[in-house]
Amino acid sequence: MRFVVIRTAQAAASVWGAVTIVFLALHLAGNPAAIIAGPTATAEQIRLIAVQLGLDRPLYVQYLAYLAHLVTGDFGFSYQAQQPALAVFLSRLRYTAALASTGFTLALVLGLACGLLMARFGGVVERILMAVVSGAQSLPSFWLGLLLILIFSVTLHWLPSSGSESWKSMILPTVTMASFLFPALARITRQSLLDELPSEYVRTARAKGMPDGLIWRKHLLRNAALPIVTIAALQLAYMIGGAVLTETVFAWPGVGQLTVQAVQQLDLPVVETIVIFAAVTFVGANLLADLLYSVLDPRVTFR
Amino acid sequence: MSAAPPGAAPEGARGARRQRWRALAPPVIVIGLALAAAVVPGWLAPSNPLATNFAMRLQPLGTVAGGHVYWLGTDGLGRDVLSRLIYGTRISILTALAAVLGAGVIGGAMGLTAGFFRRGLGAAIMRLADTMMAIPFLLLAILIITELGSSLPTTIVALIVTTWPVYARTAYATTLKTIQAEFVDAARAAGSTTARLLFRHVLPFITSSLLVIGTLQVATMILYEAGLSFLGLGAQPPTPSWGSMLADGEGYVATAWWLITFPGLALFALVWAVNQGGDYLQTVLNPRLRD
Repeated sequence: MRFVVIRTAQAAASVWGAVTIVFLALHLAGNPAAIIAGPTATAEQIRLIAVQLGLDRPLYVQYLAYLAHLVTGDFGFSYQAQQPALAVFLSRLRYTAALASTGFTLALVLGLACGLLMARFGGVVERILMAVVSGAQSLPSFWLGLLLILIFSVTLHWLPSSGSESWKSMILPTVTMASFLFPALARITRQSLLDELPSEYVRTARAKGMPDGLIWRKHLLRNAALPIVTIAALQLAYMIGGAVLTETVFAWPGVGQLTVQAVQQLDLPVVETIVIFAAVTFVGANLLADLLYSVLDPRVTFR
Repeated sequence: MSAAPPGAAPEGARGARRQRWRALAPPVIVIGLALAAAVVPGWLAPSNPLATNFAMRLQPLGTVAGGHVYWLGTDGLGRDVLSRLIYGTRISILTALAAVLGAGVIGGAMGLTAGFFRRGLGAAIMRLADTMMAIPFLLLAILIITELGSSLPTTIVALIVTTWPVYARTAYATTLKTIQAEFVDAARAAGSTTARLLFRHVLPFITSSLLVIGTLQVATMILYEAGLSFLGLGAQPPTPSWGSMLADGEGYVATAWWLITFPGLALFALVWAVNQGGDYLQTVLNPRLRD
């Protein structure tokens, strides 16, 4: 119990730290009022907008006011879209979540299958799959996206190259996402299975005449699950960052695209909302991995 | 090159050496070519990478005109794609090496310090590193680049600021493990100063793990640089960079397939080669991982 409290406090501190770092960086980056006013605005117009948004106050006052609002669940009002920052963010999150779930599912299936086949059969199978995995790991995802567009949209006219209207427009971005997520999963699956192979329980099962397939299914997979879960959780947490390039290539209206726009327009409330969400996901995924540890392996207990 | 038939079981040390060479030859060749292109692009490139020629816009591969062979065709401004590709290698490698060196030295020093002074300063450093890792990489990088203006040095700064925690964590973990070793106790008992203890006894142990991480990070940094240039946040035009070449080519995807194909292929080959090198280094420096 004490462990859970400490971990949660640490997690909250990490999120607060991330908010602070980004807050400072955004204010050093320039004057949002000048961007809202546009390139032809006079100094007086810029000053008026700054006063309106409260950007003329000392930095620490702005920071404390921001935190005070945050604590009450107020994420602020987007400088660019005439909406609350949270509403702007949520309207985009829908798209990224859809892409993340299909991409991650595909990656998980591919990664587990590849890793299992490599560990189980070895030899030529392992060498070929390892080459595929190393290749995929070195493949720039945005380049793969462009190639898929070149082949399946431009040349074959099978699938749309952008947009988000039908399920068809999800296929190419999903494959692109999965391509950079699955190699790490395949490697860790193979490695953790191979690590478990020389264990005593495997020898015992074999000695009592248990068929190989059953040993793999009943013993090895379950015991090899821990490292796989950790990597999978971490990857889920990196998804928002990883989505930026994929979403740019396919003009997918998700959080990744919003991130680039909001940072370049210095739209502080929106950027901070993204940071908070990303940090919470990151910290939460790590916490979740720790919790799953104790479920999968009763020897791991919370101190 | 190896003369052994494919699939033949290697016998003895000679066979093993031959097999290792066969696996290492392609990455070594790719890295060698890339280094040559980065160091002396002028000797290899058939023409000026910046020279535009509007009469020769979007020419396909192997176009011959005016005593010139455009091996990989030309881009939307009539520039030679092969020459731009060769000059772009320098940007890629220079950025990646500078970023890894900067982040490795800063992160390594941070981790070493944190591991040695575990309370106070050390705890503060590691909390900062953890916090940095919770901020999405691209968001922070774009923010820094917006702040300082897009240019190559800015890209390097952004990469260093966002990736030092990776090295700090490794250095921290290795330092913690090393300072418990008996030889460190012995050195301390023999009256070593803190500085001597750190630099003579602990540092050598963390450098090998940092070297492995660093090599693999070179590949990641090449990818990040290309990704940032693709978003228009790296080297500015007309400087040829693989990422910005891909961004330029995106507009011509329906008419000039070569513009997105070759810069991506170069990027893929180099990243793959460096990754293979990193994997190899890992098995050499970390014998425990050897199968």
